[in-house]
Amino acid sequence: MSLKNEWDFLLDKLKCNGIQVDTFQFEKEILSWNLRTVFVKTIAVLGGFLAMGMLSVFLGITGILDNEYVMLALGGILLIISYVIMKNKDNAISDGLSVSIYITGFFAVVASIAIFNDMMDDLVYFILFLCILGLSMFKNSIVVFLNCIGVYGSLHWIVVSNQVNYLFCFYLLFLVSFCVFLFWNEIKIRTANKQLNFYYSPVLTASFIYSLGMGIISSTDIFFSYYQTDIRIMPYILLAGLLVITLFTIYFILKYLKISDLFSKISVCIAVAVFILLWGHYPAFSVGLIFALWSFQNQFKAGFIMAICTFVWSMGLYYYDLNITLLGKSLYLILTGVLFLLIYWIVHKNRNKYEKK
Amino acid sequence: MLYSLCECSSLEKKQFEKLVEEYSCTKVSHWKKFTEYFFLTLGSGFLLSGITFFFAYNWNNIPGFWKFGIILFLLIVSIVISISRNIKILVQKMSLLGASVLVGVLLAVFGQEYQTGANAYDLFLVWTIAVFSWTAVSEFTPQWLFWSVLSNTTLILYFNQVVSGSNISYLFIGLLLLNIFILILPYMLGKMQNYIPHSYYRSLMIFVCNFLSVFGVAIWLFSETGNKDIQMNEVTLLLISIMWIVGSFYASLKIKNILMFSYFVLTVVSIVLMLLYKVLGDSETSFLIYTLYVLFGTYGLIKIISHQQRKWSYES
Repeated sequence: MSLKNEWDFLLDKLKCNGIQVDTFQFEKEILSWNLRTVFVKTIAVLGGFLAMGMLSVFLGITGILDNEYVMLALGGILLIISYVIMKNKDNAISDGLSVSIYITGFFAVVASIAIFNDMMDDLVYFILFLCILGLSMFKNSIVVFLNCIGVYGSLHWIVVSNQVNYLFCFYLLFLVSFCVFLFWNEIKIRTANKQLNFYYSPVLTASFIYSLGMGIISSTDIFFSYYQTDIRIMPYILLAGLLVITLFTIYFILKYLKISDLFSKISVCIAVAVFILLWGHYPAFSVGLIFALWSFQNQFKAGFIMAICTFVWSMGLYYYDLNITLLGKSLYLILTGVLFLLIYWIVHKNRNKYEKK
Repeated sequence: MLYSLCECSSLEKKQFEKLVEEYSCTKVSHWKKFTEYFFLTLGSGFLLSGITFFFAYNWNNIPGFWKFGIILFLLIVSIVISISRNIKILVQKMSLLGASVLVGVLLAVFGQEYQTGANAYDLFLVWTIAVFSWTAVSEFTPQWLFWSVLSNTTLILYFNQVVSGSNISYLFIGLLLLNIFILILPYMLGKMQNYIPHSYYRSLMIFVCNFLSVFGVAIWLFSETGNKDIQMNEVTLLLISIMWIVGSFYASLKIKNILMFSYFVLTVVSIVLMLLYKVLGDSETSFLIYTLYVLFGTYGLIKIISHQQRKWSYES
């Protein structure tokens, strides 16, 4: 059955049950949703960054880039124009032109503040403020996504620049837990009100991508110096946190699958726990596993692909890790393989038992 | 999309939650299938990687006979699985893909053991030729993608190692023609086999061809060579690029493929930007013009794509 026929079938079913549907409005929503493809969104963002690059060259050549007042005025005007035209119902204007103007204006304002005050930390606080302001004012999913990434990036910078490295693990744990919370409560959040429904997708996508990115960089040798801390317990806290989140995810899935057999439940939990403990020094593996499972549950296809790619990427990182010998690596991998095959066997056995019943 | 229905209907919250669970959440039966495949893939993937790493650890100490023996054994097992009738089709095809990878490993070990002194290009060429027949009968899109990566690598290495120092336009003519051929080939062979490659193959290959044709136009546009042979080649590259761009446009209209159409519009917008740069250069005002062009170009691009999509959706 094609997608259109599926919708028609669903609408007919609802009407038969006495539910009134504003078909005209709904078809308009479907069309508008279909027009907002990933390609269109990518083009809008890339166009914005390219325009920003061109403008900065122009401003640099003309010397305007050194004049903070002109830059501030220019950025302000561009942001206002973007705000005004974003309300337009034509998606070429709201997603294309206004997003490009927004990115250009944002850059101009940030550049002007950088000239006023060349302290990087102050600038990052200002970017954080601007992103939060943008989040509350601009009702466009691409802009919300970019601002959300901006907020996460600024907070990350603050942690790194203040050398409070021990906060990094709490930050990663917070982001992963936040994503899991969003996945878990999708229906409740999206049906609560229109605002939350609008913010849900861009905020989830931004949090998801940022968490995966952080999982990868914290598993990479060259970034270790940023995340190493004198407090020796911190890596264990991160490990324990990821373990709790993974076990919660597994518990949720087992409950959803209605697996009541206590032996199966305990065996799967122990096998997953051993996996997390084995790969504790590679958070990307655990984050990838958690996100792959939740993405599958909520049918977030792009997320599922990203999570699997993170897994493959982590394997590449692991291959080039010089701190472990090839023998150590092979034993780790064989043990993990056996663990997953054990889970497969338990799940398969349980399924056969259930089907026989 | 389902959430818009909530806003456009008289559905109550509980009714809607039930509807979402039915349509938007993964069904238990799908979960059961998924967990089996997911854990089986992870388990066998990790186990195989571990075994591979174990061999890598001892590789230098393994005699040549055993090295070949191990790879040939794995190759034979993969081939046997791929032609066994009792095994699922997906496993058979994956196995054939694995066998195709192992052919390359076998060739690499051959080069390592006997120090043949051959270029990397030779290895990839033999590999590409060796696995072509499997690819042609595989009816499996990842296998075709793998083969396209192999053949592109062969061509790039050939220009790097064999005819190094030649003009870049030769390479781009070769790459563009090769990729157009690789795009069409599975469809032509598929007609005899009743097989159509997955849509992502077409999307990816068309994107690659458009990308190469934009580069082709750029090479002609910004070339400063006085050599007539090279100029002729650049004109040839330009003509092939234009033919591809126009051809892809007509094809997108004929098969009503919005992604293909979007690539075409993006290609045109990129070429016009390069033309502007060629004409206006890098003066002060020119960058302001580029900024405005990019801003309104983005708007125009989305407008044209949306208009076309709307038109096709009304027609269907």
